[in-house]
Amino acid sequence: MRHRFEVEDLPPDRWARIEREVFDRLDREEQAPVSVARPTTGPRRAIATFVLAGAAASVIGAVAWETLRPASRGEASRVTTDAAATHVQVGENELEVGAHSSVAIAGNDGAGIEIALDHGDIDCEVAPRRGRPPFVVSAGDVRVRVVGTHFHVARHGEDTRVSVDHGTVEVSEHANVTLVHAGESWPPPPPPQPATPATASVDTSPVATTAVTASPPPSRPATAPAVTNAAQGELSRRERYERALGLESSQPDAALSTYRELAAGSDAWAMNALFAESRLELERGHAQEARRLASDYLSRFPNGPNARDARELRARPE
Amino acid sequence: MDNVAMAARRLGDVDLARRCVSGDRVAQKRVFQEQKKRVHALLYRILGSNSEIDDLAQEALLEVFRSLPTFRGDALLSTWVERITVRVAYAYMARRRSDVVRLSLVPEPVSGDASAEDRALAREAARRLYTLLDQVETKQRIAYTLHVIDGRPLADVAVMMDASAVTTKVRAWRVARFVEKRAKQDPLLARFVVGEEK
Repeated sequence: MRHRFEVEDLPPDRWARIEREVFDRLDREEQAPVSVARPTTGPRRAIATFVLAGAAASVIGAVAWETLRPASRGEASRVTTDAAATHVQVGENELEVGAHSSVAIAGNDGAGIEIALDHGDIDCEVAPRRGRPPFVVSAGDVRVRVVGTHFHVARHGEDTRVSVDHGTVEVSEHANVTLVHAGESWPPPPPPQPATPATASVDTSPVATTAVTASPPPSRPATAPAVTNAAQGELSRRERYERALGLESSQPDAALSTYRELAAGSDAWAMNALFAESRLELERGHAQEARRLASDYLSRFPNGPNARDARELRARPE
Repeated sequence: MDNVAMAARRLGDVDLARRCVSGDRVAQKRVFQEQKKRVHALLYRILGSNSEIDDLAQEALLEVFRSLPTFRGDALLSTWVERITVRVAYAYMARRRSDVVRLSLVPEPVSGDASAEDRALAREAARRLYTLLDQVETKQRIAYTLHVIDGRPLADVAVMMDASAVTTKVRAWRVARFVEKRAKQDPLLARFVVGEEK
């Protein structure tokens, strides 16, 4: 173009108004019971967490939704179903709201999406966020933050369950954060107790499988359930994977090293680690290495939970 | 900027972001002051002179602060801020895709001197150009405004749009072809988009 159109800057008084508004909003959000993307002190510092405070989850959750909804996310839309489920598209994301359910949906892909599940269940196919603001589902005290995945949330009274088809989500309840991976559910199913009949509530989530999480929330059992020796080995590899995940931002080389070691195996954690290695290399700007690892993933785990993402990553142009 | 300087700057950015996240108001004000013109200029390039640009700048800067906990220093903070701003502009246009994006009224120049007249002509050409851009697909518009109007390298625009360089090039090229075709029937616009002389 031969001529450049000049950008006409805003006058100081308009900038002053914007500055005032921005910091007033930040202050209000800071004081609110819903905190968006607060820093954590542990290895998961790089992962933004969402905490919904308050004991009376349904009441406080509703109030928070109405009073703390960021203006940029616009008005919430409510979807209430009777005997039939319904399909909702929000930006690039597909939601299946189950029968006899009620959800409030606010936001868009640009500003972030927040979904409040009042009751019932919802199935979410979330497009990879790729650095965009998060996709969050809250159900009472439980908040599920998504990077890009397919997962299911069910809420019946104060009982909330999450199951993940592919990808990884971060579930927080009060101050406890748990990563839930493909094929797992939250809260984890109770360990087998051959000597005593199980008294825990039955897990009714449709995709609940073999999850064992390392840090159950305080309202659940306070410590990790006892596991067999074989399961202990599995837990160890899982812990290493989660630690590597937490190290990605502060010590990416260490995270990669752990992923490489885990990927040398042949179990589910090898599969997860190999994809994580590829993703992290891409994030570090090593596209060629990322593509090579994605190819490796697809040749070793052609039907793995991240196969679709790996194909997309492998096809990514220079 | 060499690699060492770049790495040092990224580290500085990460530190600044952490201070912001911890509630350090001095750091937050610094980010606001350093990034505000970048955010506004980018929105202005994509949207043109727009009556809602104050609100959009505010929205983009708020999103920057809300997203700072996820900033990991993979890119410079300025690049990261630009990506957020592009997303805010995209979301705004998507919200309004059934409407024409409103343009603010441009005041006529008070002075009668030649430079004032040139500025007025440029404004009018810009108004006509952005009216045309209201007719094109949002991603194409962003690619065109950032690459052709703002003069940013295709590779940079591709990163900001999370797209490949080839896709970005095609998007910008399609709009350029459309605009140049229209400019053949509009001498004023042609002066600015195809370099025709008076």
